[in-house]
Amino acid sequence: MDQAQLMKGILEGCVLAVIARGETYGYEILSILEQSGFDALGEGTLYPVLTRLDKSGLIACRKARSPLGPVRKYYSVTDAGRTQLAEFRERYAAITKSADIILNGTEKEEST
Amino acid sequence: MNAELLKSQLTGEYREVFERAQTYIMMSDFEERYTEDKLSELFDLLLTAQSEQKPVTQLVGRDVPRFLNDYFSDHGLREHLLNAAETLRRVCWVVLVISLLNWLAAEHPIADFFTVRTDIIYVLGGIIGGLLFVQAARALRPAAVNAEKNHYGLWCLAVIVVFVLMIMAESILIGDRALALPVWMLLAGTGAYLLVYYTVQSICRLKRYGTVRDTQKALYKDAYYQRITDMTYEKGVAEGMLSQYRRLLKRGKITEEGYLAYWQEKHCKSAQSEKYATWFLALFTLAAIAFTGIENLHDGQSWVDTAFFALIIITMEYFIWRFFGKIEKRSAAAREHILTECAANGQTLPAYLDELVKPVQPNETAH
Repeated sequence: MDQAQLMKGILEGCVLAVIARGETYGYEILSILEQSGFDALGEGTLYPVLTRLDKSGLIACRKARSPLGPVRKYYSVTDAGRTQLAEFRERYAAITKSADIILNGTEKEEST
Repeated sequence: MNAELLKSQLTGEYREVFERAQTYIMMSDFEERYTEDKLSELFDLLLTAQSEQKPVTQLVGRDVPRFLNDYFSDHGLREHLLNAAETLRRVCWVVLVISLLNWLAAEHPIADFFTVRTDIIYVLGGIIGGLLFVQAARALRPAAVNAEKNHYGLWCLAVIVVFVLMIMAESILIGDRALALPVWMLLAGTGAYLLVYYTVQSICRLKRYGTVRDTQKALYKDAYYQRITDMTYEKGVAEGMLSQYRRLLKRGKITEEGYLAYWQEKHCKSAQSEKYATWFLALFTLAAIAFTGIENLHDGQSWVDTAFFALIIITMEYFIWRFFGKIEKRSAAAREHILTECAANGQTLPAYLDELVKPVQPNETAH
């Protein structure tokens, strides 16, 4: 089963969760996702996700000078984003619980 | 924001990715602000990775064309409409200026010299040709982006060739056909569009940024971008000075130690030469106007002809003076900086110039 397909379903929620930790920028988001094990992520998919979140009003974006000098986009979560993130966490918990029952239940039956 | 100047800060594989993004943009019909935004964000990403020496494949993956397709996939309907509005704004300015000139010249004897056609057919032909050109560039894009090696210059040339062929085809197809419109209609139409455009733009800016000024432009003119511009310019001046040094050294006309003093003297004289050049241009312009005035008086022509000629020649000479004056001012500032730094470092000028023209190293950035 393709890992990238599985990731696409939860990517928006995970990116929102990273931004909710504190104001951040593209490179930092990529690094956090990579450290968390999202190394199979197609990196170009991050920016369309950020654009979608911005257009939906779930994150806010401001431009400021980075420590190295060039203009950088900094992302922060909005109130609507926090609400959406809370809902995503609930949905994710429910789905993983159901999937766990099925997958662990299947293994138990196979072992017996 | 000058993408070429930003690119000069990147090296190796980071620069390669940035250049591929430029090729992608060149073959696409993207809105200017969108392009600026995306290139700026990509530059920040690549520069940060370069400074931390993170492999570029960890950022963009091994499939760069796929990364670029995903990266630019958010250019939607809104951006296309903004682009269309912006293009129409430019066309309106051209049509407005030409119509104004035609209206001013219409009732006057100088009409023979300055009448321009108010043929709307060339403008319509240009718009249709432009749309076809965009489709042609988009059709070539996959080949450009998927090529193993990014021949940015070659694709630039291909785009220019397609553009020229379109212009030629347009001229042949239009031929002698004419679709003249009354000047007042063109003035009213273009004037109305521009008024609406700038009003809507001002309202949107006021709502979003609290000001009608273009804050994004101001952002890209700050000290960091100015420093890159100055550094790139200084490098160009240094390359010229180094090249001259090698020529003079070959002919035995200079020594390494004497080159700094040679340029310090030359630099002092250049400021004076610039003043003489400005005076010469001003006197030449006045002489040309006076001569034309006397000739017109002799031929019994109206003083308006002289005034009109004076207006045109003063405008042309002003822009020529400003253009070359700007270049000379920048060159003088770059030379001044080079000579001051070199003298402060205690190096010979050729040695200092040698260091200055070295390629940017991965950890060096214009802070």
